[in-house]
Amino acid sequence: MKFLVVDDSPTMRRIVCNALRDIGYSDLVEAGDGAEALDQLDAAQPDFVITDWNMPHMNGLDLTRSIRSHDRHAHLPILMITTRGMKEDVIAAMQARVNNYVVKPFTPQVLREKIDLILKTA
Amino acid sequence: MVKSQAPHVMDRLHELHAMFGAGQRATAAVEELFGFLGEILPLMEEIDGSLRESTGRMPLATTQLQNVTEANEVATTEILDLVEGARRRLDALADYAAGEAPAGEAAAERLRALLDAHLADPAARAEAERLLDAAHRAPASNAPCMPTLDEARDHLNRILIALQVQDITAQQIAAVSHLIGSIQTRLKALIYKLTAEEGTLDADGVAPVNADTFNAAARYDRSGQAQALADDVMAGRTPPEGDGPSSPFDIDALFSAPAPGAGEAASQSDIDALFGGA
Repeated sequence: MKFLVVDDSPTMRRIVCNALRDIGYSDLVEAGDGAEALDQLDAAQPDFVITDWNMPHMNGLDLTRSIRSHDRHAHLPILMITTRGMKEDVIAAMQARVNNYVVKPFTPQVLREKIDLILKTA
Repeated sequence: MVKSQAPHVMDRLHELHAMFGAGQRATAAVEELFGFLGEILPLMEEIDGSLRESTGRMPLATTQLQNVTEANEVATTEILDLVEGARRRLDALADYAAGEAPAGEAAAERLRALLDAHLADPAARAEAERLLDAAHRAPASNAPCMPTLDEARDHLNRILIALQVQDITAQQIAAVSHLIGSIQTRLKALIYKLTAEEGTLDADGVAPVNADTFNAAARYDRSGQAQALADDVMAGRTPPEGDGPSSPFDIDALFSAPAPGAGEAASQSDIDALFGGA
């Protein structure tokens, strides 16, 4: 399974990628913002998207909406990993149709649980 | 002619007298006003100078904040490099320790089979068994290493989790820079009103921070409460009411919204509340 990891922080991308490798996923591609991620959808054909919210050029919420209205990639599982922990934020993410939501700082165990849950219901 | 015009002339003289009297009173008021302006002007100049000095320092303040963020990122990257290297070495060590015991077992079994086939002397056989047992115990001594290796790997994972603080603090610093920029914009507007020198301070502006790139309410909270709240919302359960969001727009609204009440300014506690009291 190929993961697309989207975050404007190189540090966070490394941390997420390390956590994914810890739980057995090693086919990973990265993007620095939502616009770059959209380019990667066609180029890398990922099976799962993990995205931050606050990013330049295109934030994670807009990226999610774009993916959900895309011709070929609307079905992709999307997990949002963000510092935004307010109820209104989670509701907005749900309305944009993310599959699940993780608040930073996260542990590899939480990441595994959410991915497993998404794949089980996909 | 003179007699008939006398009342008219007298009226005009009275009017002139009243005008002179009013003029004298106005002169006194104007003199008082000039005196007041003379006292105020140095104060206005001092305020203007202070505002210019403050706004002039703000770009330096945001530059210093940016330096903090960059230094944190460099340090975090170095730590990540070391942690990833240590994890690779631990994994290699764990693989070696796990592989040694089965290889040793297989070799011992083969040796026993050879001894059974070719060594008939009982004393020699007993000595060979003793030596085999001693050699066989050596690989098993790797077993106590495994919990230690697991513990070391767990500690490295926890370091990786803690390094997420860099992303969180970078967003908090960006929020402060955005606030400084907002304050500078308002102070510049005030200077323009006081001095009518529009545009003279544009070159000294704080570099704008894209409001979409940070979350002003970012927290390094390991309690798990935020995740529990998110899980409740995603599952459709009713979460407890919490604080309202603190967004860049709330920061801007602090300066652009009508003041609550009669010209009430935002207090330091109002500004602190935007950051959740942090």
